[in-house]
Amino acid sequence: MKKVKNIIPSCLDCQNKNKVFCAMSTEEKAEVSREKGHNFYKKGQTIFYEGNHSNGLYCIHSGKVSLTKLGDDGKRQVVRFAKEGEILGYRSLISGDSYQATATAIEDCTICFVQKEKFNELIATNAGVAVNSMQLLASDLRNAENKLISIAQKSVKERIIESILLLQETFGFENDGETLDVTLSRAEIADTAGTTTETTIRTLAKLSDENLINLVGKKIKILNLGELKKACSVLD
Amino acid sequence: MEVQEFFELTKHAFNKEAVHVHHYKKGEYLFTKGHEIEEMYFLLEGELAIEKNKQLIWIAKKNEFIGICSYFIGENNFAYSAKANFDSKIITIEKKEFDRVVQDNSDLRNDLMQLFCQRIDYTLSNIKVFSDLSRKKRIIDFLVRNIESNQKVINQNYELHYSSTQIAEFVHIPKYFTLKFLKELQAKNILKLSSKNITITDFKGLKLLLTLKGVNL
Repeated sequence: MKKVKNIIPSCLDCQNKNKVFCAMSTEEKAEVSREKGHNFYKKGQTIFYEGNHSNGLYCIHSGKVSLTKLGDDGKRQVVRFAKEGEILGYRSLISGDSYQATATAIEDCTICFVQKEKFNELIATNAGVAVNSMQLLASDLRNAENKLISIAQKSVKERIIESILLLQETFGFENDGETLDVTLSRAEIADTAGTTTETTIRTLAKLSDENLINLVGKKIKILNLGELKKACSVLD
Repeated sequence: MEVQEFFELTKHAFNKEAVHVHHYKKGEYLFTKGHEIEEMYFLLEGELAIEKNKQLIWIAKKNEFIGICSYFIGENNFAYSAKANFDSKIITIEKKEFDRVVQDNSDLRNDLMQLFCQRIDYTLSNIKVFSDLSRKKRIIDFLVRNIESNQKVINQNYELHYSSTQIAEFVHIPKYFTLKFLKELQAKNILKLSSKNITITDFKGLKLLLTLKGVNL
């Protein structure tokens, strides 16, 4: 696990190219930086809960986060993953609803917090921030729609492969160019694919037998990315 | 005159020269997947089914912009299809004009952001429905959600203008299964089937079925 340095991030020299905040002027960045707060979260710690009143925007300075929704039967469904440079909670601020998912640190994180009033002011006064927020919403919508099609039309095996590919797309590889740069439990992968832990364990073992992946503890190595993509007929 | 309503709804933000009106018959496509994005669409009357990979992903209702997801992602071609569920009146807006108003008009930006939020919520609820519910409950959920949105109420009965085939396509369940289950509901006096319509006669009873657990559901 990467160790998080306890430094206080400033928006002015932040290296994370966040799509929404990139549209801010230097003055706006300085103002947001002065007014924002920040927190350190340990792996497994909750950042906000589904159903809680939303009062601000979270911007991941470092670390990785999962966003999950709880089903009526208590089953968790991973909505998406987020990494450094990405923001959380913006949809609830825009719609005025409570948080629609629970955000949990899947590794140690440093996360900045921008007050609701500040974000709303930026959206109202800076067309670039508003348009970039819409691009983010459009991309969230596209991902959700693809997930819906996947759940409705694909087999469990295809969904598990799709989850592995989503992890690769979101977090990339470690330096070896094969190992996914994220560590998730089998239960977390199951929540991503919308299936049970037992089925996930069996399917991962099958994929390993087919030499598509290699399992090293909780780490997953992708041995043949092309074949893996073919095996789940990835949506265009 | 036909376009006047659109200008009033959008507070005269768009130039008249860049806006045109079109009529689509039920079952006609506005655009299909891969169609080049040259204009944006606004649904003035009727209803549209937005489909991707043969899966219904959204039902667009009156006074709604169409094509915004592909537009804001920055694609040159639509990633989905839009088909008229009923006879529909559509306003087309030239893309350049849409670009201009998006940059200049904060009211339009707010409306679009709210629409995105609604569509994301709807899609996430659908994911939950598809992951958690049985096929029968998926059909009930579809009926309930559509009634709760904006269906006509006549003498305490709710009218849905969908055939069983359309519902089967919407919920991605075989047609024979959908029709068989709708007939079961008809036998329980919960609804009445006709060739093009479904009349819900016992909405409370229908909603109650969603909460029941058991082998039959």
